[in-house]
Amino acid sequence: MIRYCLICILLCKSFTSNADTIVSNFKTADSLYLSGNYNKAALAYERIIFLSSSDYERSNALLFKSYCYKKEQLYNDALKTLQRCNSLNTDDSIRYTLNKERALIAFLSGNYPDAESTLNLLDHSITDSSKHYEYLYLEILVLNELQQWGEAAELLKKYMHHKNLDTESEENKYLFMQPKLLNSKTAKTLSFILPGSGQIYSGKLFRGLSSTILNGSAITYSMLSVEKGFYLSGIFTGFNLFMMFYTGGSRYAEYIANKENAKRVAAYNKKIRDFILTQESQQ
Amino acid sequence: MNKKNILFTLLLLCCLILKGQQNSSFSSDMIFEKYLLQNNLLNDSKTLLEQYSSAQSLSNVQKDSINYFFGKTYYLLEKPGVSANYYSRVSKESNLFPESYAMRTYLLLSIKDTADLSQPFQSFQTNDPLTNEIELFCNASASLYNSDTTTFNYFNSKYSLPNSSLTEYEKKLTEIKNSIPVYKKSGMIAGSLSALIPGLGKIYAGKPKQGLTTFIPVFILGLQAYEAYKRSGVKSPWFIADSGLFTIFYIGNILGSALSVSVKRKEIQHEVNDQILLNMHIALQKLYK
Repeated sequence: MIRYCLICILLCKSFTSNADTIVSNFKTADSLYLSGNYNKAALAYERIIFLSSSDYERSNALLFKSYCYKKEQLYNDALKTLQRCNSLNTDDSIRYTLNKERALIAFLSGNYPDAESTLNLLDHSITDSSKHYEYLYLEILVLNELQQWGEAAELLKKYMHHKNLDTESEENKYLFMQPKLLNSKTAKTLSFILPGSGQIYSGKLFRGLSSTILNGSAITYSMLSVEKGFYLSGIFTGFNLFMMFYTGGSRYAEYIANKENAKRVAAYNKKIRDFILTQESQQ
Repeated sequence: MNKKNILFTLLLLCCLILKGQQNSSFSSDMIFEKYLLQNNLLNDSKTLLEQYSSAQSLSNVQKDSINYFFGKTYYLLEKPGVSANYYSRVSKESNLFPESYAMRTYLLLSIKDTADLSQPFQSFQTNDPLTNEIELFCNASASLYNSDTTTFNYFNSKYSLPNSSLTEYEKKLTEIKNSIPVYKKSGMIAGSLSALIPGLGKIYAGKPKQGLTTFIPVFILGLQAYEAYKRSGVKSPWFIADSGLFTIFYIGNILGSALSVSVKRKEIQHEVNDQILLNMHIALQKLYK
């Protein structure tokens, strides 16, 4: 009896089918994921991708592997994992989930153009228009980051209507007040005309005045030297110093205008992001 | 045969089969590991190998494989120091040793860690002539990298395979050695020359453009100081300011010229070392791709 049991156990262990192996690998991977061992879970899902020849199983494994990376905040790795999916040979539901996840991960990794193109793909592939509301929030966030504020505002209105929120109310009006951006070329030109004025235009009064004083001092030194007959000092030291402050100052004006713009854009996007995330977390 | 004997035989069989399955699991894991490396899935590769690194029941051959794959993974992760460390753990008896030795030498040279390579060169004389040739090539490259031409010549004369896949790179290495320029310039002379004519020391050191760009400002500042002296005398603030600036630039030019000799020497050495590493890299890629 013992002999038969042993033989049965050994045979069972040796001749388990590939399908059983995949199922058991999925179970192992899922349990590792649930216990928070994301690196090991990612490896276990990769083993399924390696062993399986079914596109459905591989897509599922890739999707779950990307979840592991998402949990570890390795968004670039998660995105690369999802980009390996051959979603053409999978069914509609998994393709929808994969694309939605890919758009989210692309957004989280800061790859906004990829997120936008994936969302466009989703828009064209869904047959049930109500599904659009499932990722509308993401579309708004992506368009905002791409500074397509007009389109983002339209979608935000749609989103707010769907959530029964008043778009005209005083407390929500700030969401539609797009940031006023500085023209960096204007800042540069202003500093060329009057040194320091570009910095003042960009909101940096003290830096602007400092630039004016430095440029003024250099040109005064240069003129004073020439007037007193120190031609070489006036030309080579004074004028060279002035040219350095003058060209450097105008380039700096352009730089701080761009920096100020980035700050205003980030502040506006944060406002929208906070609003959307608050709404989504209330679900 | 009694019942006890049958049970014993079965248990023995069971143990053998389980051991076989353990080995087959390791082999399949190594196939999986190769797949991970081929697909550049380096985090997964690391996770898989870490699962084995703490295992006690591994045979020496298995340990060698693990260390070799760790070396490869860290090499692809662009951590040459860690990679070289793992490659150095592969034992001499392993068939992965020649590649590991070559990779370790290349990696230590690439991070300029020549301390580990300064110990007497290892010899793993085997029956395989290509393996011996690889060792000679690595040691010759390391000697030339350390500017030790005597040792380089020794290894260079030992090559025994005239038509191997390494021959081209052995010849290239000799070409590199022959093309190293003789640079015997003195920092003292460079400094003295720049004291005579600003920038001349830099031209002497082999940096003519820097010599010219040093000469112009020092010359102009000298002219300014002369003009100030002529117009308002020694005690005028114009003269003090201009001559002060001139002195700073003049002394800086002398010190810079003296330093430029050693900078130029390092640049030449760096260029030669880059060529050695590139030659070695291409040779290893061709051998072990």
